[in-house]
Amino acid sequence: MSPITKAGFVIAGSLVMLAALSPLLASWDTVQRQELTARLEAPDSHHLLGRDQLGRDLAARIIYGARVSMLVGISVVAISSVLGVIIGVFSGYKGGWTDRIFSGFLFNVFMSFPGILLAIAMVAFLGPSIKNLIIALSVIGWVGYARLMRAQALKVREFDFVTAARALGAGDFHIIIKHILPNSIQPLIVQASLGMAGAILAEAGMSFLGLGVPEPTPSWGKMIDDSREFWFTAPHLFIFPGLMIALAVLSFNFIGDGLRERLDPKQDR
Amino acid sequence: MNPLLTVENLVKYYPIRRGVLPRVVGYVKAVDGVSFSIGRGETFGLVGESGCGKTTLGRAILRLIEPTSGRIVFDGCDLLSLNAKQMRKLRREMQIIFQDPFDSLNPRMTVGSMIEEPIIVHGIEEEDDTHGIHRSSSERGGAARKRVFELLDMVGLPRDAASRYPHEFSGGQRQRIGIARALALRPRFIVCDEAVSALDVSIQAQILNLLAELQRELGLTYLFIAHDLAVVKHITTRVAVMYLGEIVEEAATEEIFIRPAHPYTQALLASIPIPIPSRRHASRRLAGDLPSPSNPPPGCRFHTRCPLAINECSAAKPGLLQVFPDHKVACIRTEISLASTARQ
Repeated sequence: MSPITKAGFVIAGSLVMLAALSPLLASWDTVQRQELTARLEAPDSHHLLGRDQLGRDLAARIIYGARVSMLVGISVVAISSVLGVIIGVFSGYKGGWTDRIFSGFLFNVFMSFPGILLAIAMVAFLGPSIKNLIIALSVIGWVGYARLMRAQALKVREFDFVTAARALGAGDFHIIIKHILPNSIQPLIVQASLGMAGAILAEAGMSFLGLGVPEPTPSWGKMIDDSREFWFTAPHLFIFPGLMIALAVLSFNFIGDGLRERLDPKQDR
Repeated sequence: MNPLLTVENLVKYYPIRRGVLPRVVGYVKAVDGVSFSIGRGETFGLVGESGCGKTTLGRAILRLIEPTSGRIVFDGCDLLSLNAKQMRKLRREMQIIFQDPFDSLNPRMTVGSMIEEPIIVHGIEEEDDTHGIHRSSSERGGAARKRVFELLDMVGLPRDAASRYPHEFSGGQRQRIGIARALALRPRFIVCDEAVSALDVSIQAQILNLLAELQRELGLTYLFIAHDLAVVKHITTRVAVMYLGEIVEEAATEEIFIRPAHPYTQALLASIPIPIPSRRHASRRLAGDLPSPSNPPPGCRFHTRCPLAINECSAAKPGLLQVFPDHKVACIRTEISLASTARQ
């Protein structure tokens, strides 16, 4: 494993830990408590990352922001990959008309929408909340997984061991679970880690646009949005959340690239 | 004697679709009107070069590929009239062994679970269950395990193979695993689709001997698909020669080796390498490639490459006619071709 991939695992692992342990690191009260007299205070020994425009402790908000990012990232990847695996494998394994309807029509319809615009429209329609954000990002996210798994299923179903299973009298469900899935799931791991980065970035973008997580829950994207008026007077308000987003996205991209190299036998060095 | 398997006029065409709104512009005639029958306990060889349709034919017989038309009668039962559920039930009677021992085993299943799979799919050993004894799942699992060991013994693999993965085995061993899996349901009929072509010659002999042994013990009937006539000579009782989706000659194995009547069969036989330098003769090589099965030549399909072809050969398609007892040939030049082999 390359040092870059290792760094990816270390950073991503720390972020997940940060999200999981955030109630131990800072109380919810710290996140919310406003001290307007101390607004925009620069980092010091008491408030390591300074205070925001309402005098809230920035460090505590960033720690709780990790929860939102990880929650959205993991949920979106989980929902869209499960959906994508089911639809993609079914489409590729069945072939014929089933495949033409799913892959020829449905996939292309979803691919032709600009993803983030569709998500914005959906959240605007459903109302901003973490749940609706996850739904919107999953709706635009599943197609990538479905296309990947369809291609895998198309390849694997031609192997003789699948024909052997049919010759034994096994049904489609049995063949998909026992033979197609275990032999086609590997690239999904790569796709999922890259998808995690994409989802975190999309959440930040949506929150920046005010369509993400509503107040008072802190989100990195929302924090950057709130900092806009103070970019010159209090740059720490956008530097720290921005750094966190970059770290999160970068770490999952590193993991994805590292795994791709490891799992692709043609790149074996 | 009534045959175990009868194939009548079996056809498999693959449509060729072209255009923006795909429409059928032609057909690849992979199997085009093939008929033969296989007696119980017989080993029926099917030979021909790559692309002649022999694999398609083998799979169409098992309905792994849906035939376009024709009739397949297995032990009095018309296979093409069965629905999916009836067909699944009948699958325990007929199995297949594949050419590629690497492609045919799921790399993510242990050998044990692979051999056990058919038993699980069909439910455990019905002969035991008919006594009305309800067994717990662990007892059933034990019975399946026992059967796996039995099958490993039968194909000459150690019992500890059950817990290992396919990549830990050599080509020949993997082929034995494939055979064990095919035998798990106690079938009566097995299609061996180029079952030894991918193996070294010494391993080929071992696997052929194993197949012959199993046939004696279990009373199996084989359809043995091969492109190597030397292999066919060793194991089969009857042989059919296929060319471009059609059978051009069919006879008892000895007969076909002594008295090949079709010019194509003669060319195939002449291409067998002879390891004795003094007996080596200038083999009659076939000129040209196999014509496309989407556009087969008119008349006799072999006339484009046949050394004996005359104008009449391209005019009408020759039927498969009896020339000697139990020896059928589809060629209008049979007398000349027989005379030419007699001279050699």
